[in-house]
This record gives sequence, structure tokens and C-alpha cells, in this order.
Amino acid sequence: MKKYYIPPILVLAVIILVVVAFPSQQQDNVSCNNCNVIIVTSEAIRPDHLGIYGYQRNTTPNIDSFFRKGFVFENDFAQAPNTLPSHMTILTGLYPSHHKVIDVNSNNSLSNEYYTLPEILKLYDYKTAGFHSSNPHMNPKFGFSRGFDIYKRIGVVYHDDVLDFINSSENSKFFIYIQSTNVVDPYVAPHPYDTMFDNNYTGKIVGNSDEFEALMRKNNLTWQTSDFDKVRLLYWNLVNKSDPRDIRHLEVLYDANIYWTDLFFGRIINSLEELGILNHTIVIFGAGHGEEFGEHGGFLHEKLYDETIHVPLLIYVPGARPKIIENQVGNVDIMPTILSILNIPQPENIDGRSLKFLMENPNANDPNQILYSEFVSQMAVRTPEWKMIESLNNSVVSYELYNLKKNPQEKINLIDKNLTQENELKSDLQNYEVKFNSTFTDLKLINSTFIGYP
Amino acid sequence: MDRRIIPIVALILIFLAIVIHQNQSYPVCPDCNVIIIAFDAMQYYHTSLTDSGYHKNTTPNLADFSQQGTVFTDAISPASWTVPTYVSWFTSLYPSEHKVVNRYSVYNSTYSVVADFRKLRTNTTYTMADILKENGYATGAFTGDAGARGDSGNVKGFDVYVDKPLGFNGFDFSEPLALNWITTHKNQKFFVFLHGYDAHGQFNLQNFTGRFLNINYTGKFTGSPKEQGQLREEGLAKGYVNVTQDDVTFWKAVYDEKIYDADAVFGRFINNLTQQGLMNNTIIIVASDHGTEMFEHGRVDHGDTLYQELIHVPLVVRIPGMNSVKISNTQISILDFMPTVLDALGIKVNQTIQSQMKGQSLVQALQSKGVSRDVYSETDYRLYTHKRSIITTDGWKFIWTLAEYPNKTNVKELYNLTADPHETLNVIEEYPRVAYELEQKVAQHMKDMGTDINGPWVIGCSPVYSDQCKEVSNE
Repeated sequence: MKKYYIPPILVLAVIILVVVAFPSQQQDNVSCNNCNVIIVTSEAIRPDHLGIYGYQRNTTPNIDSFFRKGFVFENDFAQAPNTLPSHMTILTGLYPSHHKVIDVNSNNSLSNEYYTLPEILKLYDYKTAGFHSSNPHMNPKFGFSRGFDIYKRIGVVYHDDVLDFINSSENSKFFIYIQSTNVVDPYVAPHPYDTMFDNNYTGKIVGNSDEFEALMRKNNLTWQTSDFDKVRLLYWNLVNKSDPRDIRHLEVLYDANIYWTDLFFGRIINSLEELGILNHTIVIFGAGHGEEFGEHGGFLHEKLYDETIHVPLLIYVPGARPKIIENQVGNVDIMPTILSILNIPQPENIDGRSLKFLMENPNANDPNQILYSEFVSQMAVRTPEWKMIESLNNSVVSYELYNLKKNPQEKINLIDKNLTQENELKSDLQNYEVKFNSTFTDLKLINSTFIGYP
Repeated sequence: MDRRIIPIVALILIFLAIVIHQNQSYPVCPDCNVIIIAFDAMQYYHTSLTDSGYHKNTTPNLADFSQQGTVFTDAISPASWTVPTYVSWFTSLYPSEHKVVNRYSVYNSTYSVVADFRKLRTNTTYTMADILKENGYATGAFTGDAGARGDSGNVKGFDVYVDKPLGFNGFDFSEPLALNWITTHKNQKFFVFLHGYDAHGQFNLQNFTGRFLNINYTGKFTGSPKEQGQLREEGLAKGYVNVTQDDVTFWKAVYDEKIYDADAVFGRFINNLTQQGLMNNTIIIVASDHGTEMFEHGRVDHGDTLYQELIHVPLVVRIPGMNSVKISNTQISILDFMPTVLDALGIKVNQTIQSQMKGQSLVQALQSKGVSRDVYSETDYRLYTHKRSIITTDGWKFIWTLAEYPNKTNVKELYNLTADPHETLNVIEEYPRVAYELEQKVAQHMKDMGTDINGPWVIGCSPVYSDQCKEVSNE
């Protein structure tokens, strides 16, 4: 038999061809059966004030180093810019118009047609605890305590409450939900945090918590809910909103609060590490809403521009490779995402979708990136490129349309320019409102100083 | 050539021969006639089929016939009443997909439209009769009218569809017509649907002998259709009916005698087919569209619940020339007739029809290789109720009442059919996780059928019988 000589270069070429023709698919399996789940949320956190999202100040060293091992969602949006509806959305996977637990002054409770995340996890033998620090919003009467073995109010420091619960749950799987208001206004912090990012401010804002509390006492005010509007007015009356220096200082104090929040987050992570349970615990950091610093002529979180609805979403899944995900996602997706990572069936009557497929393959086909957000008198629809906001004021409905790619600041209103997006997004909004029988409250009917607050 | 290769080649050839031979035994019954016989409203547990557990010899002829075929002990109907079910038989679609979920698709005081899948569905819907006709079959349906009427769309593909005179007619009416038609068409391939209302509450039992009555009944009932109709409406209005134990015994005896009489005509029919020499080339399927509640859950009649007495139905399949099992415990859905018949006849259909059919061929199950499936049922009976259910292969049953007259919503029931086959004990509190998972399965199934599970689930009045919805009707 004749022997053939195959040149090594040919062999090499064939190998290269095979490698090129059949690249190994970077398809990870992101799942964590029977893992613990901790969700830490804070009110009023903007992703652009966190180091992991590229902020220049060192506000979040603990979050940054921990979630370098996790999934960073760059474009996560809240479905409401205020606490009550936003957290109900996180816990149910339902849009605000669908769960209808929107108005802090109402007694609307979540209908029993719907499941909350802890209710489902309880079915799968989880011990569940909810810790919140926003009594009017996170009140059990709205259905927030459903499914929680423990549901309690926490103060500024909550580390011991969480550890006590973990210790008491012995070796059982657990789910912990933390809702902290450490970042919301009035932005004050104890020394040295109050001056850590700005030590030469000479204006009128009182950022030191001891000094501010002294001022409160002088005005016969306490931190009780009934005084809260007055406390906020006391703070905001010292702010010169037309002075850029004051606005900058507000952001500095806001950042100090974020730093503080990060400190507590770091302590929780350290404890989980010490307990040796971090390798089977899913950790999520998110926010109920963002915060405005004058971008659209106001403060706080009372609008539907991105500064108030663009929120961080960071997910750590033990063993999963870290990834950055740019697709537009929503807080409404958090519940189904957690369930699918745990391999627990999700309720079929929800509005959110599991993001697991993106966590496994960030390049996966994802054609339906459309989200809705709503607030009292407003309704918004957002795609990765476009946003429309519908508002009801003085019985008049008006629309704004923004091209988010060309004008991410949402300043150039493109309504009435005969753009095809105008009709498309209007009909999307209309379908949403009809589907869920949405209600608007005319802005003129609201006479509270702080919209959405009691 | 190396001589050692010869035995290897030989082995390969033998292997090929075996494969070819096996392929040649498909289809199991090419060019056979097809007869589907429907005993309307016959509850599985009131037949004397093997395994039904009934102690009265109500269906001796059906039991005899079943010896030549296969009895399915776990056949589940996709609906609990007539109108949606027969459309499912002939289209292999769930009711919410074929959309004939009530007699009328629109009904109000001035205007009504009979529900017809040909108008309600945007896609063309293919029926079993359509496809058989296209393949050279003569097609004839001989029904007892009422809910089996052809105007639901069921007439599609039939050369002849008898659904007159008006009323609830029995086999004594439809069977002679079918037999006569068969005799004139027996020299060509034919498909027959033979239907009788004999066991139905609205069928008038002419001559009650008391054959199955073991007490001296002195109660107030005579067993008439009118009385059963009144009891049905009383049950719907109140959730239960006021009857004594003797009344129940009496009503069951009336029901059993209706079944017995229907079975006698069935026996005559099979004898006749045998005499005409048709048994060797005719596929025969005998089933019921739904059962009848005989006070098992406090009421009488059917349509309003999805309990086993209504959706667990008798099914006997006989395919000539097939080495089939006597009893199949494979859990199957009555959606399976169309794919089964096409499979047995070896009729290939295009992808559109393939994807229309939600059932599966029973040919494997007939050969003992059946795989049980989770089965789904639904009812939107008269807009009095909206219910969905699942029975899993491991014996759980979950019933979801989305809405019901007068103001019931979102009621869930869970039964362990293995321990509690007649659904007496709702164990949803004990097994909330099972209930949760089954709820999501049902919801997923509904989504697959194109139903928005968030509703709205409207309660109203959509009549089946002329005496209903009088308050909104001028009829």
C-alpha cells in the first residue's frame, strides 16, 4: 500500500479551519438550585453615582469589588419613580397599573390573584425575612408582608437584624429583602461622612446629621412620619436651588449617603463570607428609583425622566462568570429572573421576564425591549432608543418624545414632528393603559409639597 | 475482494430487510373505513367496561365489543359538555382554540350568532372529515341534533350531516339512517359519525322498566327530561339540589337504563356491520363526549364542573389487523381521534394540519407502548362559569375556577386522584407547592392556546336550550 505524506502545515490549517468554523459557544448555565437569596435595595440611588458604573468619586468600594464577580445591568429601569409601586413591582413582577398598589393614601392591597416572591419561595421551603425602613410605603396593609416569616421595620443600621435572622434560620434556605432609605432626602450624614467629598462648603445647607437634628429640635420636629414633610421643608428651605454650588453640595451629601449605604452592604457581604454561605447565596443590589438634581428643573423623584427611573441592578450568582449586560431591562424582571436562576417555575400572569437568557448569553436575540413606567399623573414608554411621556395636567393630556440615543438628556422634545415613533409609542401607551385599566391623577389635584409622599 | 467481508454484507442486508419489513407494516390499516360512535353524556363509571368498577351490567354489548379492541381506562375529554367537545373531536383543537366554547358567540335580546369555528377562527380549520373526503372517502354524520348540530362548523367535510329533527334524538333515530347510508356506500371507503343522545338528561326514556332500580321508589320524581332540566337549573342557581338518597338511587337507575337501551342499539349496529363483512376493514372508535353528574358533587347534569364524572369518559378503539392490547392505562386526551385515525390509515398531512392538531396518535398506546400525558380540560358553560383543569401523569388534579356565577373568582382546587379518585377532599392547603406548579402549568397551557389568563372572565348568560336566558331573549 502506498503511503501518503501529509504535510504538517496542512494539518495545522485544518485544525485552524475547524476552530474558526466552530467557535466554542460562550453559553453559560446560570443557575443556583436551593441557593439563598438576598436582595438589598436602597431608595434614590442613581447608577451614575456608583463606582461600578463609572462614577469618579469613590462612593461604593464594597459594591464595586463584590459585583466585579457578578452581572452588571447597565440599563435597568424602575417602573415607578416612587417607593410604594416600585417595590411592589420588584416583589411581584407586575407593572404598577397591573398590581394597582400605587397610592400611599389608599388601602389598596395586592390582589390574591398574584404571588409575591417570598410567597413563592416559602412554597419551596425558604425561610423569609423582609426588612424595610419606609413605614408609610412598605406598610403591611399593602400586602408587602405576604410570604415573609419576619417582616419588620429597621433603622439606619440593619446589620444585626439581618444576622439574627440568618442565625435563626439555622440551616434552612433563606430569602432576605432589605429596603433601606439611607440615601433619601434630607441628605445628612454624621461626621466624617458629611465632609468626606467636600470640606470647603460655606453655604447654608446643613449636611451634618447632628447639626440638622439640633435644628429640628429647635423647631420642635422629630423623625416621626407625621413631621416628615415639615422636616423636609426645613431642609430644603436652606437650599438655594439656583446656586450651582448648592446643587453640587447636595450631590456631595447624597454621595456621602451612598458611601454609607455601601459600608453597610460591605458588612453584610463580610458576614456572609465569614459564615461560609456566600458560595450558595445569590446577592442582588438594586434600587426603587433614582433621584433628580435639577436636570429637569427639579429635585427628588417626581418625574419619569431617566435620572429618576434609571437604577442600578447588580446580580451575583455563585459560580457564574461576570458579565456586563447592555440590554434594556426593568425592575419588573427581577422576580422572574431570581426564580429561573433557582429553577423554580414563575407565575404565568406576571409582566416581567426572566433575564437568565441574557446572563447566559449577553448577545442573545432580544427584540422586545420595551418598558413602561408610571407616576401619578404620568405614563412613560421606553425602548432602547425612544421614550414617550404622557402627562395629565389641568385636564389636558400632553406628550413628550425623546430620542435617547441622540439626546439622552431628554431635552429636545420631538413631538408633533411627524415621526413614526410618535404613533407607535402612543399606541403602545394606549394599549398598556387599556390592558391594565390604568388611572391618571390630574397633577392639579395634588396639593402636597412632595408628590407621592404622605 | 476479501472473502471475509461476505458475512458482514449478508448481515447488513438482513438488517435492512428487517427495517424495510417493519416500515411496510405501516400504516396499520390502510384504506380502512372509519366509524366514530358517540354515546352522548355516558359517564365512564356507569359503563360495565372492564375496570370501570361499576357493579351493574349496563353496557354488555360495548363490553363484548371491547374484547376485540382496546379499552382506555384513562381517557379525558377536553371539555365537560357537548358543544365544545365534538368540535375538538373533529379538529384536534382545544375549545379555547377552536372558539366554539358556547352555543352562541354573540347573544343578546336583539341579536344572536351561532358559534361557528369557520367564522371565529382566522386560520382555516381542517376537520377529520375534510381530510378523509380529500382522500377519497364518502363522509356521513348521523347525529341526534342539539349540541351535535353541524352549524358549529362540524358539518365541514361531510357529504351528509343529519342534525334534524329539532331535539335530543337517540340511536333509535340515527342508527338506522347510518346503517342505510353505509349499506349504499360500502363499496367505497367511508367515514361515519354516529351519535345518539340516549344517555342524556334531555333524552326521553320512553319505557322505564326499573331494571336497575333495587329499591321501591316512592319519591316525587318520574325521571323526565323536564325534571332533570329543573334540577340542573336549581343546582346552578344554588350550588346544590335538594334530593333524598332514594331520589339519587332512582335517578341513577333511570340513567343506567338509558345507557342500557343505547347499548342495545349499539349491539344491533355492530352485529349488522359484522353481517355486512365490514369488521375486517373498518376502524371503530366508541366514546362519549362527557359524562353526567349523578349528584357526586351535589348537582346533576353536566357542563358546569370539570370533575371526573364529567371529563373521564369511556373510550374503546378497534383497529382491524392490529395486535393491540386489551386495556390501555395510558392517560390520553380525546383530542387524539384525528391524529390517531390519520396515523392508522397512513394519511400524510401537511405541516399546517400537523401543527393544528393538538392531540397525538394513539397507535403506540394501542400497541402497549403508550406514554401518559398531562391532560387539560376547560369549560365556559353558558358563561355561567370559566374553569380550567389539569390531570398530571402522577395523579394530581388541579381545577381552577377563574370566575363563576354569581360572584366567585379565582377558586383553586387540588385533588390527589390516586388516593381520592372521586374528588371528595380538596388538599390545596396541604400541598400548596403542587397547586402552585399546576396553576402555572395550566396558565402556560392557556397562553399556548392564545388565552390571556388575566381575563377578563365575563359572567353572563349564553343559552344552550331554548328555555334559558329568557330575561334577555325574545325567543
